[in-house]
Amino acid sequence: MSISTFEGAGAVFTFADKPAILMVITFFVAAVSLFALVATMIHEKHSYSDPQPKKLKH
Amino acid sequence: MEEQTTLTLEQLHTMIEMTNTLNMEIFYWWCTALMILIHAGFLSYEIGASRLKNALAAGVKNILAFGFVVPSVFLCGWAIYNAFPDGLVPRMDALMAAMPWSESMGPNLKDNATGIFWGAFALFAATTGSILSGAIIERARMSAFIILTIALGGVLWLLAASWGWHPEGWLTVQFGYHDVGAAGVVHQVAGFFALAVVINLGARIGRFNPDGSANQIVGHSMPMSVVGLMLIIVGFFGFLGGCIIYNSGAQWINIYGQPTNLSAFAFNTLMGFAGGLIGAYLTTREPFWMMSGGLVGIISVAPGLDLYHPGLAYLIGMGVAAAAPLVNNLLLKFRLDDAVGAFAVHGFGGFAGLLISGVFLSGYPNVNGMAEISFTGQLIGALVMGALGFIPGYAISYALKKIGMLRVPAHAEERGLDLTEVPAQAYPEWAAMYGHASTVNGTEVTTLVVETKPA
Repeated sequence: MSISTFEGAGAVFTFADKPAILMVITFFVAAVSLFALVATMIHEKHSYSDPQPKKLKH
Repeated sequence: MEEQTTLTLEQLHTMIEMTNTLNMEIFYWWCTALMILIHAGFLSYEIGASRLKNALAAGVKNILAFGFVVPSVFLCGWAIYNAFPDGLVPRMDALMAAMPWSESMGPNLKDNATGIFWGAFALFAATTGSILSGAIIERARMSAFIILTIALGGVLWLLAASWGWHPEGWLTVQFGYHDVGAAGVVHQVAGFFALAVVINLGARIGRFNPDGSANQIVGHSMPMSVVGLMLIIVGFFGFLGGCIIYNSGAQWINIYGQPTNLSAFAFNTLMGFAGGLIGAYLTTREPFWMMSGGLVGIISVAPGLDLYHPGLAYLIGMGVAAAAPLVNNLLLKFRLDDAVGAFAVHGFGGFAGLLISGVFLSGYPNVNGMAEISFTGQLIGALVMGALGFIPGYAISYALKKIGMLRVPAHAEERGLDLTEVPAQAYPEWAAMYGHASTVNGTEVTTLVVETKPA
């Protein structure tokens, strides 16, 4: 919680008054995006080496 | 009886200001919503343009582009746009003010503009990713596409916008570069980037014969592609609406500060679109290129949407769209397999549009002491945009190629990417329909064995 009243408030988002925490969150956003990219690469590697068609997901 | 209160002049003024601000927000909100239709259109267009065996993989690629590009613009793209109008040296105060931990980059009751503009720019970025994805369907690795689209949508388009689509961008200030509808900064950059990737990626298996002649590779659903293209056109009205600055209580202006209005955009968008349809019809007679021609028509008049006479916009759209399929044929002569004609539509359309605008808009004044519009300025802008797309696109795709990360293995390409990497099936009844011999007049004409996915 970054504000105690809406009176005169500007930035109202979570941790708006704690830039260090926002930087950590930003770092995690970048890290998760990178993880998704790596996960895509791993998925490709397994897919290309597997002679069976990919199983349907229900 | 109710007591009537009389508002003071100051209260009335505050009320009008707030109404104007809310109207501005609402305007860009719906522009952004409409722009999502561009992405929906590209999704449909590229799935339709893919063969059945690659239909879903094309869709996954397109959806993923959105998922990666939007956070990229949040993490660094918006800061790039704000910090680099002078070239390659950033304005540090602007850079820091647009970083994800700054007060403006989130819900802020005193800032009704940043989020809404950021949203529009993120959707422009997604458009660049979609332009690239069409060119490389059916053989590019998903991971390579993600890396390329982050570079294009999260960095390069925003650098282009900072240089040529910013009130203080060096191309505008020094050369009077005029590109109100983003023909250069979005379409040309993305089109040239796509061309560079196509060069390194190579053609789909079977696209060319040893003697250099090309074989047709037909997508599995042209109706789906054509509907997708029409959705893109609808989305363009959001895109182009987002190219105008809602000036509360005053004349609306374009991105460079010159006065304009939505009427101007309506005239020239529709006339360019219509001209493009006819131009491509005259040279191809087929619906895929007609609809692509409509896109070319809009892109080719986009630099001067605020200034062209609608008749001239019609003629420009027609001429450039008539030439676009020929440009795509020229690429085929060089064995370049741009699967949906992305370069011809976006790269060539944007480039030609900028040069033509240099001819017809030369001498128009600018504001705030910036150079007037000139052919030289438009030519320089077009060359910069082409280089900004092509050089990084070539370098990154070349590096990916060298480490074996650009293209799927041949066996996966031949089998189809859906069976290989997508745990879903586009048309489950398809095998039941065509997995046996069919006959015409008692004669067996085809036997198509369809591989199905295990449940």
